[in-house]
Amino acid sequence: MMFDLDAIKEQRERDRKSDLEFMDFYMKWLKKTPNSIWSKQHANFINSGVLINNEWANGKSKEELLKVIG
Amino acid sequence: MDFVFSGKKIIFNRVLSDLDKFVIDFTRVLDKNNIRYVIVSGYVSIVFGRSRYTEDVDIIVEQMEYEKFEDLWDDLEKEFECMNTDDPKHAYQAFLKEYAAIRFFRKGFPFPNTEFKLAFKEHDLESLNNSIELILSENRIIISPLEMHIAFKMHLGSEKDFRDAKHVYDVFKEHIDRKKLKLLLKQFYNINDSKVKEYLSGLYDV
Repeated sequence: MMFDLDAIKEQRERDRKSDLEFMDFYMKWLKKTPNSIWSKQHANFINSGVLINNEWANGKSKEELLKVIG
Repeated sequence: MDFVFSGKKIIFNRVLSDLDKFVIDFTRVLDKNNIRYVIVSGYVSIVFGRSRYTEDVDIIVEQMEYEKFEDLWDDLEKEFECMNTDDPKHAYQAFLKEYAAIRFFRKGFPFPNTEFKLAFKEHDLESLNNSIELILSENRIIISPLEMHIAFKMHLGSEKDFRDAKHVYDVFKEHIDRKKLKLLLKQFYNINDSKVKEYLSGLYDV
């Protein structure tokens, strides 16, 4: 199977630019939204990452964890 | 987003995440032991609302003798655990004095954790000596100077790092020392101009 590497590269560049546009959109929202609102959503997002990571780590030794996270 | 910015101090009241609480509890032990520290890298972007997760928080601490580190270790051990070793002497000699980081985490919860290392490079000392006091919902933590954070993230050069730099730049656009940032980008880090123009929009506008 042959992949069109140029097409993949172009798509990746379009995705990157689209991500940066989203960052600008997010920044505008962040700046006009009260701290109590955006930070509650932000904390929920961060806390879910903490929870998932600790569920994954459950039962693993420190040596096993270090092998993965360096 | 509301905050009060006054040069070396930022007052920022918002809902705290588990990551913030971990940082606050860990740095409280450093403060209790009179150890100068500075938080650098990803957390500095995340604390101001960057929408990404991190599993570790980079903390640079001042150089210290073993006896002082042992006192700190004894205090940290009440609440935290070192991932690399259970022996403070080994942590100090085999890691910290070799300029490697050690990881501490809250007992029973490996994530998040700190990457704790001693200051030894020029930019570590620059961050330590020009740090910013962040009052985060009435909790005091010390973070790297914003210009240094942005320039260093641009220097690291991954897409994630560019975006971390962009986020802090956009939040503090009206407050950062543009002259200092330009100097750091151009002379200290020798950053590619096209990347700077793309991620730090308006920096070179008159």
